[in-house]
Amino acid sequence: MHEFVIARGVVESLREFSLRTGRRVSSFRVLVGELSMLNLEVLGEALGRLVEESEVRGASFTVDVEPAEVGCGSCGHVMSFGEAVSELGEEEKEAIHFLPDLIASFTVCRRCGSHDLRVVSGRGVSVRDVTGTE
Amino acid sequence: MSRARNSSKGPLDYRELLIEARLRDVSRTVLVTGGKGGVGKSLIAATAALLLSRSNNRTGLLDLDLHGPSSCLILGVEDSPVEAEDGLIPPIVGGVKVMSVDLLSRGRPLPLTGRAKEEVVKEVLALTFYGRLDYLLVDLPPGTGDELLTVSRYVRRRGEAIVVTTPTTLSLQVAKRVIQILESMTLKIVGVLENMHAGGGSPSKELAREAGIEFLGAIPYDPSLDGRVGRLRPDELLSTRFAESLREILRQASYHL
Ligand SMILES: Nc1ncnc2c1ncn2[C@@H]1O[C@H](COP(=O)(O)OP(=O)(O)O)[C@@H](O)[C@H]1O
Ligand SMILES: [Mg+2]
Ligand SMILES: [Zn+2]
Repeated sequence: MHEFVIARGVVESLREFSLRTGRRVSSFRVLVGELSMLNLEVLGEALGRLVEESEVRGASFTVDVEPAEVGCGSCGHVMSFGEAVSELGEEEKEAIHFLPDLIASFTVCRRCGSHDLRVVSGRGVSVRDVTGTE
Repeated sequence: MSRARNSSKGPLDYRELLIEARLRDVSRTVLVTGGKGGVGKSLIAATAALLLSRSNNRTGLLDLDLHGPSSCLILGVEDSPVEAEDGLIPPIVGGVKVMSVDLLSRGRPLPLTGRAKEEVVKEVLALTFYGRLDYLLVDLPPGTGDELLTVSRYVRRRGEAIVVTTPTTLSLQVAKRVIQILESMTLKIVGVLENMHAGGGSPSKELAREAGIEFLGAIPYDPSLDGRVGRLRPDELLSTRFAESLREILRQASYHL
């Protein structure tokens, strides 16, 4: 449900971008980290609604998933999303859904057992490829 | 250090404006800092939050000690934050809205590197829905790490810091460095608060004088707390000598008590 909060933040950042640069936003892309396990449908709908209610009205957008990679600082092994979350329960996934970096608390490296894990990619949400007209 | 504004080139960070909007709803954000661990920052932050709430201030407590979260242990918070359209709604204890990563990580260790800590702090600030507050107390880890730097970047104008130290030489020396960093960030420093005062003179007075900041007062060592913190209910904690002394100091320092 915090998809709504994120959608609000995304639209706010676009609105601010538009104000600051004096350009009208015509398109943008939202990249959603796989680890955040956000509901893309809910996020897309919320974005669509908020975009139409805001100064960036008319902008087109896509919502894409960025695959997650979790790297081990001890042995260098890189885990995919599936590998990283495979043994996690619902409560643990829920925590990671809010704070993707918590993966390091709940998972160990599949190869060497270390907790020294870093999210290399696919963490949270970012707004990319913003195009605008003067 | 300049504000991490979304630039027009790189990706936009959706959290920046959310964080600013959330902090705009808070009249006073009070960072509880100090150089060393174990000087009483967490107990002071939690007790100050209870005191302020008891005096009818809308109060929140944010635990940003990612490696050693203790606000929830001190206040006995058990409920989880609730996910709602406005964000994560923190559980309430003794009238205080309390948020901590511990409520999500549930006692697990957090092996976070610097970059990850910054991400976690930003996410917690962006997602937590405190609503309108008169005071937000922020409990910080010792020193001047990512947690303090990241939160300071956002609270800057609205932020104020209390520097907690014990009368030991080591604690005082490290506190001095914290003061230097806080000053460089143009954060308002409320003053130095000496904790676990053992009688006699207060060496923190000298530290405050040298640094040109306020000496707020000294809280005595309170043996009645020994082994009981975490087991005391909010009203029991508030009736300790420790809390009484803190109340007096905060009142003198213009907090609404
Ligand atoms: N004035 C005091 N009298 C007695 N015990 C204290 C006092 N201040 C703090 N303590 C105790 O000291 C320990 C460390 O305090 P804490 O708040 O966790 O420090 P920090 O957050 O600075 O690491 C805790 O067990 C706390 O209950
Ligand atoms: Mg502490
Ligand atoms: Zn490994």
